[in-house]
Formats: sequence, C-alpha cells, structure tokens
Amino acid sequence: MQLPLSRRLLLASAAGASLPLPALAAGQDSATMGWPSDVPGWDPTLRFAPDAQGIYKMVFDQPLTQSPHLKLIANVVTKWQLAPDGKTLDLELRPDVTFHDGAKMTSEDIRYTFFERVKSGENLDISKSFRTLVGVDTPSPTHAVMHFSQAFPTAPVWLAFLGSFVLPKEYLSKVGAAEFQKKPIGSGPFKLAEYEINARIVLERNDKYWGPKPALRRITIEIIKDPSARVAAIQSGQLDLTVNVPVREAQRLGHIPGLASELDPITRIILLQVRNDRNFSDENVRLAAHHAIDKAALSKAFYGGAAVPLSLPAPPGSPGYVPGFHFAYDPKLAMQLLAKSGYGPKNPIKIGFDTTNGQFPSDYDMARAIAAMWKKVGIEADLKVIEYAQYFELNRGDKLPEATLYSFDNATGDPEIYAGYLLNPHLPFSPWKDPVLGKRVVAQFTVTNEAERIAGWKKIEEDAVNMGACMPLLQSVITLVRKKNLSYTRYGNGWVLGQTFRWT
Amino acid sequence: MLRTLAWRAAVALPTLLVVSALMFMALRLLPVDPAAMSLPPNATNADIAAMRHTMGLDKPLPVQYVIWLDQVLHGNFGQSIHFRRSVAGLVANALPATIELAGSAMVIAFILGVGGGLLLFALRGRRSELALETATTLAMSLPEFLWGLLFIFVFGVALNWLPFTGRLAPSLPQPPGTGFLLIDSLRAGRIDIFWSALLHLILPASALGIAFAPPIARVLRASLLATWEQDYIRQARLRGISETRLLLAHALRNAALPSLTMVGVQFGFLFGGSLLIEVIFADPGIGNLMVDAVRNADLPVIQAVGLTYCVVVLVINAVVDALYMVLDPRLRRA
Amino acid sequence: MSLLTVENLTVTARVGQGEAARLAPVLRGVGLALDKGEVLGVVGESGAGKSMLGRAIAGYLPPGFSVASGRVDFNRRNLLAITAETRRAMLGREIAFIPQEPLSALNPVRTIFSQLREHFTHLGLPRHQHRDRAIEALAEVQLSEPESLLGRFPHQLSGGMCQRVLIAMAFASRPRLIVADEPTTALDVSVQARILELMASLQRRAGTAVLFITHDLRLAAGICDRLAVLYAGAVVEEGGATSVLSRPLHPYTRALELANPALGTRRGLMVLPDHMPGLAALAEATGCRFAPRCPVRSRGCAEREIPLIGDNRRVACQYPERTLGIAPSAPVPPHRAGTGEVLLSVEGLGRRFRVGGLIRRRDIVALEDVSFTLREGEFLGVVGESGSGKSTLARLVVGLDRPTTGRITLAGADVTKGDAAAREVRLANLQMVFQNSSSALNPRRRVGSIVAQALEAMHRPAAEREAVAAELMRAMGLDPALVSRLPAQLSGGQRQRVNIARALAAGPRLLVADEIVSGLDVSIQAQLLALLARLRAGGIALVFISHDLAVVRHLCDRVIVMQQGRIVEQGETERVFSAPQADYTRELLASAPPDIGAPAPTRLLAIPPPSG
Repeated sequence: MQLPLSRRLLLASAAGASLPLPALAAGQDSATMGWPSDVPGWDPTLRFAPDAQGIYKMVFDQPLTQSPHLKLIANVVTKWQLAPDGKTLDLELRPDVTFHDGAKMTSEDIRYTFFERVKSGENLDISKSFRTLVGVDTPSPTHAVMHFSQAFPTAPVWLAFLGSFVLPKEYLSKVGAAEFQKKPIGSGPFKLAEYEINARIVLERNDKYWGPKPALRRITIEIIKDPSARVAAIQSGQLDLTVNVPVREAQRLGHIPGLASELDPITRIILLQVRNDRNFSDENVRLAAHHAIDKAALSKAFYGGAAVPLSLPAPPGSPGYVPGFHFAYDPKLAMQLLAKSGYGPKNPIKIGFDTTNGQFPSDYDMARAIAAMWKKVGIEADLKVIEYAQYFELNRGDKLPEATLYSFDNATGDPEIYAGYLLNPHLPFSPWKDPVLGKRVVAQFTVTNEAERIAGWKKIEEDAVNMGACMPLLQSVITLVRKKNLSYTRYGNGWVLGQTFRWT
Repeated sequence: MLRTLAWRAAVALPTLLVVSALMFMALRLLPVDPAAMSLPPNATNADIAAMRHTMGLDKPLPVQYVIWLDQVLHGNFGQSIHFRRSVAGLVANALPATIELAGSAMVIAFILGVGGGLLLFALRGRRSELALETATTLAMSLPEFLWGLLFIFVFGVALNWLPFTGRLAPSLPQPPGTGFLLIDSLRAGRIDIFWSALLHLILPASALGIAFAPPIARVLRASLLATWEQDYIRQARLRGISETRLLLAHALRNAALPSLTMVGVQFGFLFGGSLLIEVIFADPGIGNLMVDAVRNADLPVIQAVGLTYCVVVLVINAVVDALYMVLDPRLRRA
Repeated sequence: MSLLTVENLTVTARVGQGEAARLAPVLRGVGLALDKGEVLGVVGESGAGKSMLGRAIAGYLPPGFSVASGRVDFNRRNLLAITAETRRAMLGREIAFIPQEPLSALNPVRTIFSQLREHFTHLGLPRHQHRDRAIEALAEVQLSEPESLLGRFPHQLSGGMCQRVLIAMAFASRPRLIVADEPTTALDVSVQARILELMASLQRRAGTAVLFITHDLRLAAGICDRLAVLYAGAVVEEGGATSVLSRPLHPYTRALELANPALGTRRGLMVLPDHMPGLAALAEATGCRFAPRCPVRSRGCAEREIPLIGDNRRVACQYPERTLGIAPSAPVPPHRAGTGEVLLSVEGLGRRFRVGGLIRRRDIVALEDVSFTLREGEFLGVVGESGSGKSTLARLVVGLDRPTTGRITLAGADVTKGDAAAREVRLANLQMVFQNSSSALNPRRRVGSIVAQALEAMHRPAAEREAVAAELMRAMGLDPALVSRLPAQLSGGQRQRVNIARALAAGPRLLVADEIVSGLDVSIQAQLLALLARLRAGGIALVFISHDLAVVRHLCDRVIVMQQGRIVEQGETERVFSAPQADYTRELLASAPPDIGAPAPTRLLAIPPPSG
C-alpha cells in the first residue's frame, strides 16, 4: 500500500504542477454559490434562520409559498381556506408529491409536522408559530383541516414562512431526529448529497420532483462568512454566484467582464426601535428625532442609493404599505418641535442610542451619521455599541436606551410580522411599552377578515409613526453578484433558489 | 521523561479547572440571555422565563458551574443553543480542520523560520542580511488576517493560482474518516482529493504561518551565532568536517533548542490566530465555530471551544517538553 | 627533511578601528622545525601567541587575524597555500588536534559513537567497520567497557574520559602530526598525569610527531624532546628540553622557571613586574619585547632586537650569559608555627545534599566529619581533586551554605546557624575571594567603587573611601589610576588583585580564597603569591583552597588533604609534603608534574591503569 500510494502521489504532484486549478465553473449542469451563513441543521422546523430559508426551500417543500413578488401562492397545498372565525384552516394537497425516499406526501405528514411533533414536547421553533394549533383532521390523504384555539388570521402566511416545511412522518419517526439531521429527506427539487458543517452543502437534482425540474443537476453552496472572501472568490471565478458583498464591491464587480451585479430591495427593514419613556416621553422630542433624519442621504452614503427610504414599517409593494403616506425629512420642523419643549442646539436633550456593529452592512456608521443629524437640531445622543445577541436581554431587563438601531426581516411581507411584531409589548422586540398602542396591536392579531386585518395594520402603522413610536429608516438591499450567463429568479424577500438557476 | 510528562498532566488538571471556572463566570456575567437566544423571535417573555428555568439559568452561578462541571466530567459538554446539537460533536467535528490548518501553518512557519534562520546566519555581516532582516520585520508586523487577504488577492484573484475557499474543490466529495482531509484522502486512495486539499491549505496555512516564521528565524540565528563559537564546533572543524556539515549536523541541533521553545510558545498564538483565518478562508474549524457561537451567544459552545484552546496549548507545551528531552540528552535522567 | 617546518611566520591582528587601526604582530618571524616522531613543546604565557601557532597550522585564524608572511610546510606542502578542500582532507587524517577543554569539545547532543562515526566516515572507513573500530579506539585509550560508552553522551562522562575519547579520535587515523593545545590544563592533577602518559605511549607507538602547546614549563619538561619558549609572538629560546631547562639562556625562560613554586623544596620566587604586552602594545613595540620586565637588561636592549641565534640551541638575547645569574626576587615566605589565638574552629562538619524527587530519593555526601582549627596569622592550604569537598567546605565557612552536622566557631562565636548574629560576626572577621575573578566583579561598577564597597556598607565618607581604595590598589601593586576603569578593561591578574583588594578593604582577620591563582599565568601567579605572602605580615589568616600542590607548599603553614568529602591527612606543610602518611597524599604528590631538574618522570608509569 505504501509504495503505490507515494508513487501515485508523485505522479499527481507532477501532473498538478503543469495543470491549472481544477475547472471551477463546472459547466452546464452545475453551479457553485457562495453563501454567508450555514444552516443551523437539517431539521428545517428546528431553528428559525432567515438566511437558511432559501437553502431549505431547495430540499424541502413548504405547504404554501410566495411568488417572486411575495404573493402567497400554492405549493404542495393547492387550495386553502380560512374559516371566517379564523379558527379553522382547510388545506388541499397535491396527490403527486413524493419524498426523496419515494414515500408519498399525505395529509398525515402535515398533521405530523405541524401538530404531532410540536405537541410531543420537542423544542422546535415552529412550536412557537403553531402554539394555538389544537388539532389536524385528515379526512383524506389529500385533505387536512387545521383547528386553532383562537383566531389565527395569518395561518396561511405562516405556512409559507420560517420553519414551515413538510417533513416525512414515516421516515422521521423511524430513524429519529438525530439520524434525520444526518440524512435529511424532503420533497424539494434537490436532495442533500453532501454536507460539511460550516463548509459546504452539495445538492443534487431530485429527478422525481413534482414541480418544474431544476435546470441544473448539482448546486454546491460554499459557506463563506467573510464578505471580502466572497468578493475574492467570485472575482477569481471560484464561485458562480454570491450575495451580501459590500455595496461598493458589488458596484465594482459589476464592471468586470463576465460578471453581473444587482442591488435589490428586500423585505428586511432598518429602523429605530424607541422607548415611550425617559427623555422620549415627550412626543415632540420623538417626532423631532424622526424628522431630523435624512433617510435619502443615508441610503446614498451607505447603500449606493439603492435602499428605499421608508416612512412606514412596511416596504413598498407589501400589503401593509400605504402609498400616500410620507413622513418628511424636515430639520426645521424638528427644531421647532424641540423648541416647543424647550430644547435646541445650544440646549440639547440627551438620549441614549445603541447600535450593533457589523450585524448588517454599515450599521455603526449609519448610527454615527444619525447622531450627527440629531446633534444639528438639538438632540445629543450617547452612542453605544451592543452585540446583536444582547438586544433581547437588554430589552427584557428594560435596559435599552431611548433609541436603538435595528434591522428586521420578514420574508412574508405581511404587516402583522412587521408592525405587529415590532410593536407588540409581549414579544421581545419592542421597547415601546405604552399600554394604549400595545392593546391595539395585540387585539389586531385576532382580526380575521383579511381586508379589515390589513386596513387595521395600516392604521396602526400610521398612528405609530405619527406619535413617534416607530421610526422606519430604509428598506434594506441584498447585493448579488453572479456570472453574467447564470440567470436566476429574483425574489422580493431575498430568496436565491437553485431551482431557478439556468446557464444561458 | 515519563515522569516529566506525568507531572505536566498533574499540573494541567488544576489549570483547566481554573480556566474553565473563570470562563464560565465571565460568560455568565455577559449581558446576553442564552434562553432568549435559544428561542425563536416569536417566543413570548413567558416562554423565555420558562426556558431560563429549564436551562437552570435561574440558579446561583456556582451551582450552575458545578452542574456544568459534573456533566463535563461525564463527557457531556451540553447542547449547542443555536444548533441544538451536542457541543462535543460540533467541536470534535470542527477540530480536525483547525489542527490540519494550524499544523500546516506551524510546518510552514518552521520551514520558513529554520530556513530564514540559516540564511540569516549564512549572510551574517553582509549587506543582504539587512534586506532579509527588513523582510522578516515586515512579515512579523502584519497580522495574519491581513496576510490572508493579501494572499487571496494576489495568489487567488490576481494570479488565480490557488483556491482559497473551503477545504476542497466543489466537485470533489469529502472522504469519510478522521476529518483530516490529507489523511482521509490517502486512506481512500484518492490522490485527486489529497491534491485539492493540499492546494486549499497552502494559502491559509501560509497566511497563518508567515508571521510566526521571523521570531523562529531570529532566535535560531542568535543561537546559531552563539553555538558557532563553541569548542565542539571548532574541534569538529579541526577534524576536517565541512562547514555545511558543521552547521547542519553540529550547530543546528544545539541551536534548535531555544527556537523550539519559541515554537511552543507561538503555537498557542498561532492556534488562536486560526480563528480569523478560518473565517476568511471559509475553513470549517473551531475558529469558525467560535465566531458563530459568539454571534449567537451560544455559551456552551464558547465554553467548550475555549477549553479546547486551553487543552491544545497544554498538550503542545507537553510535546515541546518531550521534544526538548529528545533533542537534549542532558535533560534526560540517567 | 623535517615533517613540519614553520618559516618566518608572521601573523597580524587588526587593532583599533578606522584611522587608528593598526596591525599588531601576534606571531613575529617564528621559525620552528618538527621531525617525525618528535615532541616539541611550545611554552609561553597567555598572549605569547602559542595558540595562534596551532591555529595557523590548522588554517583557521580567528576573524581579524591574518598571515602576513612566512610558510608552514607539512610533508613538503605549504599549508598556507592549499585549498580549503585539501585542508579538510588533511585535517583529522594527517594532522589531528587535541583540545584544551575536553568537556566542551564534544557535541553535547550527540552520542560518543555518533561523533566517532562521523570521524570514521571522514576517514573513509566503511560503515560496517565503524562499531568495531570505535570499540577498538576507545580500548586503545584505556577506557574500560568501551562498548557501553558508545551510547553515552559527553555530559555523562568525566573530563578525563572525554579527553580520552578525543585522544582516541586524534590517534584513530594514525596521523603524522598531533597538535595538543594545553590538553591537560582543565583536568585534575592525577588525571593530568595519566592523560600525559597515555599520549606519550600512543605517540611512541605510532611514531607521531607532537606539537605540545603549554603554559607550564614543568609539564613540558616532562614529556618534550625539544622546547621553544615564546614571548610576545616571537621564539626567544629554543633547544633540547633538558638543556633549555637545566641551562636556560634567555632571562624570560629563567624567570618562568623561577616563578613557579617547586614541589620538592621551598624556595623564593622570581616575580617579574608588569605583564606581557597586549595586542595594542604589540602594535607599537620595538626593540627586545621582554626588556621592560627583564631583571638583567641593559640600556641597549629596548632599542635593539636580537634575532634567534645558534644552531641546536638558539636564543634571542644580547646577554645570554647573564641569565644564569638571575636569582629569585621574592624571599622564601616564612612558615609559622601556629601560636596565636584560635580564630576559626571547625568540628565534625558535614553536608549532605538530597537528590531525586519523591521516588528514588537519596543523599549525596559532600562533606563528612571535617574538623580543624586555624589560628590567627596562619595560612591553611586545602588540597584535593575536584569533588573532594574543598569548595563545599569554603562555602560552609563563609556562610553561603549551612552544614547538616557539626559546628563552626569564628572568633569565639558559634556561626553554624548562619543567623543574623552569625552574619554580623562573619562580616566583621571574614572575607572571601572567589575563583572566577571576572564574574565576581560587578561589570558596571568602577574599580574604585568595587574596592571600597565594604566601606560604603559601613557608611564611611567618600573621601575616606577614595583614600583607602588608592592605598589598597598600591598595596596590591596596581596603578591607583585604574580606579576609574571598569573590570572588563583589566587583565585577569589585575582583576584578581582588585578582587583581593576588595576583600581586604573591610579589614578582615580571615580570608578564604578559592582557587584564586588557578588559570593565571605563572608570572602573574608569582605576583599574587608574593602579595599574599606580604599580607601575612599584617597578621591575617588565610584558608587557601587549591589543586596546585606546589603553590600550597610554597604559601601555606599547614595543609589539609581532602578526598571524597573527608580529610585524609592534615598537618604542617613541610611534614605532609616530605613524609606523607596517607596513600592518597602520596598519590597526589606523585601525579604532580615533577620539578625542573628532578629525575625523569618514570614514576608516572608506575601508576595503575586509570579509570578516568
């Protein structure tokens, strides 16, 4: 064994010396994608990780899904009907869906995924989403009925959201959760062929997929956390596509022959989370703080102008967006408001201001710019850097300052998951604890009539902004760089799905 | 020799105990709530409180430590908050990549260091010595992640000679086995994988190793200069031994001892330096794991990785001691 | 045709820097011839250039040194004109070297075998013969159990054993010429004798010519056929060994002989003033280099240098006839019967060291049941080989270490415990002078401050300190102007005198001196011995530790002979040296190099085969 091996080694070295690198762009039926983070495991219902949703969507199926423009559309569930009281959801399944092991997907699998497993006490993140689900009837293999203990108007939305993937009951209950993590089986357009934690994910086409067959046979996802490394890798041709590179780099790479780059607005929004007390107890001060921020300038400075300035906690195109509503950048007005309360540039009001550094692009620099804008009108902010992980802890201990720079992702685009989450006093996101607005928000969660529901959220958004309870700043952008001849479908929530890749 | 190693081990245990206790306390004092981190964003405050209770976070710190220690002594490092997987498994999975990287870096640092030391010694008193001296200062003053970026842009992007993401080319499968790609690929008889893994190691290992070569070179040069004046060198020369042989067979081994100490001291730093290199080169080692763990406030993982760093440093120190005894017979007991 | 001829060899060294740079001749017109199988002794003190001769033959001069002129012909080849390649092939094969410090001349991290083996490879011996040949070579130098030695490392061997290994290597190729540079200086007296005997027998058997470089005239007399005396880089006298020693023609040869205390009788010493010119002085010197120190110089000597003249017996002196008239300048030091008050009393003194850890712990006995007394004004010599406990005894007496058993009484007070009271008593009565003069002096303090250190501790005013320092310097024969120098700027002899001056500044009643003259050249040693002899006029007592029996005999009233931590014999010096009682004392005396003019060293051969 010893000798042949070392001889082969020699031969290989000799060959390698004259060979170029292994062919990197592997041609017509495969592609390599650079992704900034790994999946937290291969049970997609276990942990909510927004960045991993697109990857999960290649291997697993959600009952419902979203169109590129974020409309809720059919997937393995073809028809869905929420009862007027919001407590019963009727689902009709496709009959032709099979898991990768050949087993048919039936209503039993829906029941198992969203009810049986959740109630078995396993610590799954989706158990928090479907905490009000009290039962799933399965009248036929293609028909499931979900029963909720209280009105759950966004139930269909949640069936296309974080962690809601249909898992194979038979296989999973046979092998157990740990084994499933090692050899996951879904019904998606790709099968997991190889996985090395924190390194790479290799997906191979599921030739028996029920939907449109992916054009590419093989997708390799390289986990590259460092943005400059992703830039270098796409530039050197080691990757075919990557996302979340610095804006300036994306613009530069776009000029390189053979590469194309895009800055696309996504459902992530950047905003200031604020308190309703301390030095922000005065509405004048809060509104002044909001009027003093030049959002267009922030976008230009930090996102090449691609990030859309927001007046509401809902991006344009999402259901909660109110086209006519505009919250003006008006430093003069801000100064007048402050003057009313007895403050001015010479007699500034002092507030605390926290920001993360590196949680999302240019966060710290943006916070500094905002503090500078405030200083001009008479608000003196004491800027402090916190870790993203500290946010919830600080909020729980009532230790967040008057304002905190924050970013929030909501792939569904649903207003409940924007304003509802950001302002709900019972959830860990909001430092705004005013009981009046709080009660309205909580109540809005149970409004079942869709039109009423959306209208209600719009009103809450507007009121919250007008009273200074919410200060939306920008709609975030995803930067994407790819080989020019690799086409993909752009999703409004930042999904980059291998099943849409095609070499042209 | 065995006794010295046994003594090392005896000292190592309390060291680990103290380090682990300090780390435990420090981590628990951070304003980060592992319970909140372990739940999805739509969990309520009540959910979080319940989770704190489940995780034992409402108990006094010393009690928490004792519970943790008891579990660790039973081989249980707990569950990762973020991955909901066994911490021991995560660390064991990531460790081979880091050891392979740090080991290769050390080999590179050692080769460059010894080569540089010999060269500096050979050039002593000449003008070119100054140039080399300047080069070593430069190599030392850049931190490893800058070397990493520099190498990526020069050898990866501009020249496009070497790969710099991950451990293998995308088209090649990871061979089963120990997790050490260089070993597994050979065991599987896959020279193509071995070659690819080797190519993928060159840039990160060089970036990590290069800053550690100059101190080795300088210490070696200094001790070579001192050794060169020794009687046994002169006496060997008077026996007609060639200058090259004098240097390599007589002076180098004697002069290597202080450099070896240097290598031992540096391996700890080098191992620590692998953290940033792993992130830049997308190498799935424990440094990468640590960065994730810090971001997610995954305390059990942070704790275990920290402890792993500590153990590695202790092991390396013991290895250096053992090597010392191999190289210097005067340290062996009769 | 001689095997080795050195003709008119001049080696210069660069001194000073830049404009002031000069070339100092460290060897000047040296001419020597060595026949096959002959032993030529090159004798001189440090700085005479004798080691440079060996280095010139090897072709490895230190940096800054170069051959200015001359030839060195070996076997009809000029060694100064051959390529490095040829030289390497010749070294170790035809010309071999035996070093001064055997312990450091072997690579500490390689086994004896691997070093022998490297040499055999160089000699072109086939690999499979190495082991047998190594065992043979080690047996040849009378090392017992040569096989077990092969795997050992140098530090596991004694100095004598290491020197035997090096001798084995040197003789392995049956070289035509061996250059031995002070091969026994670093060894104990008894080992020294055995090594010399071994070299002599090997040399006779192989017919090897030996260039024997030494500072010790007496040693050279014992084993050399011919002698060449070197002074300041030039041969001043050359001829047959017996002839040179029995009838020296050059005043320096005579002075060297007279500077050495004799083992057999007590006599006065020749004390030459000053010291040999150093490098810088050599660069400037003219005329007869020895003239400034010569007791019989004439006015013309300083201007004119006489070349080496004569046939078999050559000398470089204008007035060789005056040489025999030179008499010792210092008188025979009186030996005093101890009649004064008892100053130091040591009873049943013992010291054990515990070695090993928890397991295999054992005690090493460094000193056992040592008792003696020392009276005021008495000089007590302590002799013995290394490991005999001499230095341990000194450390216990001065309080650097505490005894395990026994009692030390100093000036009537029990100082065994070494507590504050004992320190006080010691401080008032006792000073120690260390073996290594250069490391005992703080390198950053000026000489004046070092000398007056003790007074500083007593808070005496600066003016008084300066006055005492100057006085002590004068008393030590040092130029008082040296007070502003740093220790590194002094010569070895000067440093040792500063050391003594420092010890004396506190006005002690007892001085403990550990090997303070070893390693010094004889003329410097003579100066120090004369100085110590003068001190006894002041009534000071001295414990003088030395391995040099002749020096002890010369200086001390009483003597203690130590072996393996015990006193094997003690008594009045005359009695111990003329009628030794213990076997060990007899053995020691027998192995010391004989006095010049004493019968040929046949008795060396009577010593039983050595073990180390």
